[in-house]
Amino acid sequence: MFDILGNLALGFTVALTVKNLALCFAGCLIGTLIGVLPGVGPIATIAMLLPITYGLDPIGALIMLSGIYYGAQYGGSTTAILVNIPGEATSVVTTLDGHQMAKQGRAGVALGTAAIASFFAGTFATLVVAGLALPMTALALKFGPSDRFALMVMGLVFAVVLARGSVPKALAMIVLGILLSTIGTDGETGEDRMTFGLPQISDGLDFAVIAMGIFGFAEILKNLENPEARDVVRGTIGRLLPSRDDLRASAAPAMRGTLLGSFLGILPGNGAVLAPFASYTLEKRIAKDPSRFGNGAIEGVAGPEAANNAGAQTSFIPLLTLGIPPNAVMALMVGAMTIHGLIPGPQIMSKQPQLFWGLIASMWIGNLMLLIINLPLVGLWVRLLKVPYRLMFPAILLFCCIGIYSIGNKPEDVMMTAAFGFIGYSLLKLGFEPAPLLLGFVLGRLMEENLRQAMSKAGATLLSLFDSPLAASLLVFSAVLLLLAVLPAVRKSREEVFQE
Amino acid sequence: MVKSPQDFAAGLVLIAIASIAWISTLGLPFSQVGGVGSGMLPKSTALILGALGLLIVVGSLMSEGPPLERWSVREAAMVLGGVLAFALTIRGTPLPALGFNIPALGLAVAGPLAVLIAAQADRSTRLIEVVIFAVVLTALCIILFRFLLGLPIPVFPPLLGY
Amino acid sequence: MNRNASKLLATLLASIAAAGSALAAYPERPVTMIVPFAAGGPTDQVARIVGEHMSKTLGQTIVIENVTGAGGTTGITRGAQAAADGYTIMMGHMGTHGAAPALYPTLKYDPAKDFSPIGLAAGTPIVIVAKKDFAAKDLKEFVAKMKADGPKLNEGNAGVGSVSHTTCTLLTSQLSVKTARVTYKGTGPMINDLIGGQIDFGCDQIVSVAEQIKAGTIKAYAIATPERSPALPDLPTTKEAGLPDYQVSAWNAMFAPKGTPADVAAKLNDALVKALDDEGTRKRLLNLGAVIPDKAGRSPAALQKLVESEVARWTPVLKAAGISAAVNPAAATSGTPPPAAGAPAAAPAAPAPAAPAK
Repeated sequence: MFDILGNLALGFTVALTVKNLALCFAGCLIGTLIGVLPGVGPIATIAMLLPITYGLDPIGALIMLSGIYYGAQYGGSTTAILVNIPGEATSVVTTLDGHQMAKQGRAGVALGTAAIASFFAGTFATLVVAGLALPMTALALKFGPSDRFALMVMGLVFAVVLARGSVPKALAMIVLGILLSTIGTDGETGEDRMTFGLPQISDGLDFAVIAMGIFGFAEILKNLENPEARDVVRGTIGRLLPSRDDLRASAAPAMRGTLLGSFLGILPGNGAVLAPFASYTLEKRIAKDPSRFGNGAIEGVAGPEAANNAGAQTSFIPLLTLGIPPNAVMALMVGAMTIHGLIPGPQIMSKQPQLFWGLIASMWIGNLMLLIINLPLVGLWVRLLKVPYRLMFPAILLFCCIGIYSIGNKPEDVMMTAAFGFIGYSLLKLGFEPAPLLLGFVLGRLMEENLRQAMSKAGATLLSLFDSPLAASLLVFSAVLLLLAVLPAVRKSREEVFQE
Repeated sequence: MVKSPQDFAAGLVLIAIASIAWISTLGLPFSQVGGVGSGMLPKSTALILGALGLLIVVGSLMSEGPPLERWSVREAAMVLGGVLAFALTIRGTPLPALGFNIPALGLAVAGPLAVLIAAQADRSTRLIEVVIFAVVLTALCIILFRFLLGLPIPVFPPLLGY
Repeated sequence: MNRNASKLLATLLASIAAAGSALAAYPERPVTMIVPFAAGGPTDQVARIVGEHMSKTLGQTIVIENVTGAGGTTGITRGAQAAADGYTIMMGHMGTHGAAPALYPTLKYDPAKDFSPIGLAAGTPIVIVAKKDFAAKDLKEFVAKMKADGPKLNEGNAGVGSVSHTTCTLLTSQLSVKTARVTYKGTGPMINDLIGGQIDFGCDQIVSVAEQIKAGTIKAYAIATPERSPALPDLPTTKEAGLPDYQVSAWNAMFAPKGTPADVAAKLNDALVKALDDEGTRKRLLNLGAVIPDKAGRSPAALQKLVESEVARWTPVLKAAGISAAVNPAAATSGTPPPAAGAPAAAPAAPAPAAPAK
């Protein structure tokens, strides 16, 4: 215990220099400002801002980059709440209740709750990183491909629970998402899968392209169709910060979300992506009145936002203890570290304690900065909603175009987004919800990868998926959960049939 | 007969997507030596999707549901058209079928073009206001993305070369 | 806009651009360097480190443009079709200029014919690695174990066409063994499972594995270069350890589109050579475990020779192993039209698909 305190003290002496504080602040601020642009998700934000850190010393650069990372994450949640456009998979969940709150004139409360819940989660997860990094790494290494497969199956079942409307239609969207995730060249065999001869999609579809098309453009079209509805949003702004009651309602969900996120964040194979919906599913399951979810329930913002930030934090663990990036954002961080001559590896903790503990201390400082920067900014963001929609939507579109173009410097991606905008609009007109589709898309890809890894091993059969007790119990649990979610719907439709 | 036209159409669309996916993955193996084949996931999801489509169609014949919604063709065309215009002009596009090529015009042209076309989707748009807005917004974007952040996004190749 | 008017406009704009560039001395505006892989990866790092010093010599910024897709061939295709004025150059790679013709039957460029080579920037050697409790103490025992129970061993790779995939294919084909191939999306998850003992062995670039080897979380058998690496001085070369034919490196080299004026190409080569002589740049490259080419290895002619020999080496190995991206008839027939005069090529159609090399 004294070790940790001593180490943290070392870390704070590194992070609390004026220069490093300034870099952390600048990183958070720029990250927030770029991340809040619709169409520019956290990965795009970090990729864009990576080069501006090249001139700094390694510790300063890393501190600034982690500031950018938190800023970009929070900026993404802001966009999700204000304009219903998720910048990455984890903020899909935030759109569900966060944007509903905004529509009810509670945008400020939603943003404030997100910031406070994130800060709480960040503080807790920083302590987890400081104290439990090594044992948690050992635990995470025990997760083999079949365990990760089972985890992703469970995530897909959670996605069913997220559905607001008809269960068969939500299931169909999840399945469609999985189907879309298989488009492109097969990574294992090189075979062409459903690319219809279009070379643009040979590498598969990009999350941002689908999210922007299906979520973003469809949302804009929906608003253009209902001028009355969109102006109602703009008319009422309400209070800027959460009231005491709001905070009381958010406390327990934020705590549960923090625990879930802290654990899922360390899992290899991008387990952090599961954190927000695991939290949302949990909150909806234990709520006295689940029907509030999807209609602006504050728990549906506090829990997932806390889970998201805790997961974002603990996903640094594999990077710090093993030098292995668990997701795309962390892979960028590895690139940044390497370019500064720090090749991350298992020895970073013992060989470069200033760096290791300095980074951990600045994680917490970054979270604090985020709170300091964002609580005053809430007013500004909410006021942005006052911009007349006739100017706002072309601006959103332009940012989307630039953001999507910048992912790979390819105009084809922008064209694909337009195509998905059309698909998204059609789905909307047919009464489908986009959120389950996006979740199916993200998890489907991970599920297939892990399934095939498990099955490619020498001597593997379908039964060997159940060899690991963890995988077996997760799969059984998922099956039970799925039945619980689907049975009431089946029973209901049967009753309706019999009534006639 | 059809009690829920929206669900009826939705189910048919799902069945159509599932059939396309099934047909286009016919050649992919379900399993292979030492593992799962490239066809397993697409084929099984296509099957499930088709089954769900069928379920939704059957349901639409039995219980009442919402009617089909009207499409806002003009809005959709303008919004998506603006995005398309951006894609076509930012780096230029060869259009051999039409016998000419769109030159690379960069953000200086693609930006205002996208904003102006998209703005036509809203009937309350005022021309002068949106023209000024488009120019100012594009200028800000060029300063931010190209000059402050150093992104390799073309600005105006015909004059600047980048 | 009607057809003639737009043609006229295009010609007019193009001639303004051409007139501008013909008058002044090269380079008079920023140079774009296409990196065909994602920001932060090994090739991107080499490009940024070398490009930074080259910018100083040239007096103009080198702007890095990451154009990803199809194992790097999307970006290189775009570069090959760009105007040959020295304002678009690219960082090619063992994959894009060696393995690609075998991997992508519909490739739209010829690595040996469609470029003006500038020079080799860096080699990144390949290391044979295994999980830490793998039952073979040196390369000889590893080879014996491979020959005895190849199909029972799990080989990790980062996806079709990736460096770890092609280089391990070379290894297994030289040993004439088959293994159980477990595919990951990128190097990170693969090394993770190697540390966790979920897979048995793999081949990868030194930069991705050096720290793990030093810490003992995985073990290494040999490095596939003629000389030992200063990053891992205790690791024997394949030559020392008994597998002399296994020599392979994921090299990175700079190319310009074919037809780039000789004086422009010479200026670029000069800037590259100066960068490779600079102490700071060398230190950063060595830190990545890279091998910096000697004086003779930096010339355009040496690069041309390297490309030709690499294509000749990879084609039979990959074809024999039956590895290729599926032939995509539609992509094969819809050729990309020539780019608009004067304007840089519009993003061209990518060749047949494959997983990105990481």
